[in-house]
Amino acid sequence: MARRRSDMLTDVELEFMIALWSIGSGSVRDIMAKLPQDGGKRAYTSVATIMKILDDKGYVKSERKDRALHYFPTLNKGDYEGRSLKNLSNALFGGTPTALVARLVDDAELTDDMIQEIRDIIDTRIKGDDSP
Amino acid sequence: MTVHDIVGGTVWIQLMVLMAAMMFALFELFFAALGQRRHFTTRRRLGFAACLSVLVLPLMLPFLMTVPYAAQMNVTDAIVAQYLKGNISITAMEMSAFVDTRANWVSALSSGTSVLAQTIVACVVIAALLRIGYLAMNVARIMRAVRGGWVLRRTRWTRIVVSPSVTVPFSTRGLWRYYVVVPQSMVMDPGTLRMSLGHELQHIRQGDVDAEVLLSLVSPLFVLNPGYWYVSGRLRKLGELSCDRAYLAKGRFDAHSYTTRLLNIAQRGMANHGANHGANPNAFGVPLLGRALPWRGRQSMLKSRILEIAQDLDAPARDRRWIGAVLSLGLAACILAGAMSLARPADWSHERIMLSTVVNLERIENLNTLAQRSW
Repeated sequence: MARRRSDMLTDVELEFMIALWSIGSGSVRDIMAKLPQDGGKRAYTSVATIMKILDDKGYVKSERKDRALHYFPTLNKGDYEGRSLKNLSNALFGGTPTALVARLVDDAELTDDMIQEIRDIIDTRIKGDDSP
Repeated sequence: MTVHDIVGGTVWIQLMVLMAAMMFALFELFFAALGQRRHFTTRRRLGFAACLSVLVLPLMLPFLMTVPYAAQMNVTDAIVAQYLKGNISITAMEMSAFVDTRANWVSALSSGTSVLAQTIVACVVIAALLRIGYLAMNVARIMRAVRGGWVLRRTRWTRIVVSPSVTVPFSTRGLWRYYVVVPQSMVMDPGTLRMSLGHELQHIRQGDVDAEVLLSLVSPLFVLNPGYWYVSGRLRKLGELSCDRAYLAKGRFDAHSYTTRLLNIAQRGMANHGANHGANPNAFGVPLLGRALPWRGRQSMLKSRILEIAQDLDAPARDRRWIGAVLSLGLAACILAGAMSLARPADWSHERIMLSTVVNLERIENLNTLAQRSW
């Protein structure tokens, strides 16, 4: 099953956004210059790919300037921190409760194989009213 | 009330829960050995009887201990009597240390002098705090689901709420009324909605919701007690199995459409669980959940339920109320007798006095031997 891409930033993406927030706006080379160098120098194409992902996620907008793409953040750092807190609150306090309740089904660990096995049991051993 | 009393009381109640769980497990074994394990309602009643017996123990035990037979039932005295007859071959001082094990542990835990005692107290407190945090998180989730949803139907004691934030229907209770919460997506599927509501209302009718809430509320106290997890797990499973059977017996759904709908709901819940997996806090969810323990492996509760429904179609099982009542009374009597046999007698018994005398003689002999050597 394909995993849904998270709307929140990954650690690497967050590092790039922090670099972009610090300069306001800039090209791939400007962002590269602001990135921390502790893990070695990053390739231009890697940085460009991450910026493209950030563009797809809607965190940055790009404009072509002198044949190079120029990136602008679409939300400021404070807004992102607020969104992170809201997301954490949703993860903690949102969703279906698991204690103090009686749930209709209580299998969070079902696999595709188990589902198929259960479906086979239903089809072979439990006949419906409309079954032949 | 001193720290020693509180620690002594806590240790005692933990022992009683463990003992009651072991008695219940013996009855469960008895059902399995006789090929009667499909009497889910009777077994569930036994589980409730075990819980109720532990609940009334603090009130009943003082009276029971005044019964003349109480002293004869004491298990420690019985072991000491066997020792005095020469059936246990250890020294008198070792026997005395064994007899005083509980008292020594209570003293060590309440004074906190040893590193081991401090570690045990720290583990219990941390586990209880984590469990309280987990329960608080779930209370917040329930309140969010109830307050963020809209009421589909209200009766005097029950509210049926449609919530956009949940993926699996559930029922719970507040101080004054019960709540059945269904996912918003289910409104588009009236058949599944009707089935879910019927199932959850059956849970409320048979007391599963009250039991779940009460068991959850006392869980911080017993978070490290395997007896608590055993009984609560059995009650949850037996509640589901008897709820499926009772609801299908009403004839509103045939077994095929009921089980297919259960599977579809589980699948939808699973898809949502997978999508939110990255955002969900595993540190909160998995270890304290009590529903995905590592040693359980990948056992599926849903599969068990569907197999039992299939089995019911082939060979229906019928629970008899009077058998449940008799067995429940039997289990309660066993638990009360077990508590009496583990209780500390008010006075020193003949066996204890004898043991104490032998211990003193052994000490004097040791001193004499040491004196002779130094001479």
